[in-house]
Amino acid sequence: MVEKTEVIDGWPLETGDYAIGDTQCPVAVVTLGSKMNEEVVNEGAAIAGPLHTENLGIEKVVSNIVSNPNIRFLIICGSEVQGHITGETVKALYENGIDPDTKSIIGSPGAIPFVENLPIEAVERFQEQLTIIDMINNENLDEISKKISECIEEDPGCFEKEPMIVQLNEKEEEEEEVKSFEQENISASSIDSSSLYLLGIENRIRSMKLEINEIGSFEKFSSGYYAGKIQGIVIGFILTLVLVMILFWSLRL
Amino acid sequence: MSDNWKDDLLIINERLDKLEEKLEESHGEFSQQSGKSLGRDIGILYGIILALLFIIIMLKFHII
Repeated sequence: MVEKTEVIDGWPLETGDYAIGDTQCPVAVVTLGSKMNEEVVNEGAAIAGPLHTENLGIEKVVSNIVSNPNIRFLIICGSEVQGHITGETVKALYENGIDPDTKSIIGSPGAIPFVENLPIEAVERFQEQLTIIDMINNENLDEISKKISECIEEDPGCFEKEPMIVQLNEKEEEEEEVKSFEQENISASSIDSSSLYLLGIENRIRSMKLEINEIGSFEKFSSGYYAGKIQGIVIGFILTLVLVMILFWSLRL
Repeated sequence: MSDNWKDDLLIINERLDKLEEKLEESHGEFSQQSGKSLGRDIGILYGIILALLFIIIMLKFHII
């Protein structure tokens, strides 16, 4: 029987879109862009959730893992998040750590791989405590379940050090999130409004074209009417004369 | 959007342009024909009136 420790109250400390299973279990699962929290937890994982951002998201993952010494394996599975490349960024954090000055994750292919709120001790603890299992772009639940079982069998017991509590600067994070959300909204609304303007312009062009066509057809109608009227006058005049002459001759006879 | 899809859209646009041109021509032709037909009917009435006036004048001056 491997040694386990009591999990601190209120674990996981950081909020997020995750599911919690047995907190004594040594396996945490990051499902990257795939949403299968409950399914993975039902297979025996201690915690499972997606990871969409290569900065704030990773900070939360590290914070929640180092605060639970029972977690010894981190399975990275699910489809990779395009642009953010969070799966490869977690691997880079584990393999290379962070630059102490810039707080950037060394060797990360992500767009903004900065973990400003994480102390270097937390990153070192993350590297020491865990073994990372790379299953990036694998959404096969059977294979993930098999890997979880293997990890549980190979459980080395809880990490020998006390839980590390990392205080992330929530306010700044929230402000950043709100700012980025507002920026996204602004850009989305500008796209929407430009589309509406374009639609309005297109409608006006259409109505102008319709009016031009109406004027053209009215012009054609007028020219046809004039030509037909001259033709009709000639026909009516000659026919009437012929009829009257026939009438006169028949009366004389 | 794939290149094939773009090419298909361009071909469809060209065909739509041709159809639109033909429709405009047909619409103009139809308008001209209906104007001509109406003008001819009214012209015949004018012609009859003019011819009757002509005959009355000829009778008045004993030309016929």
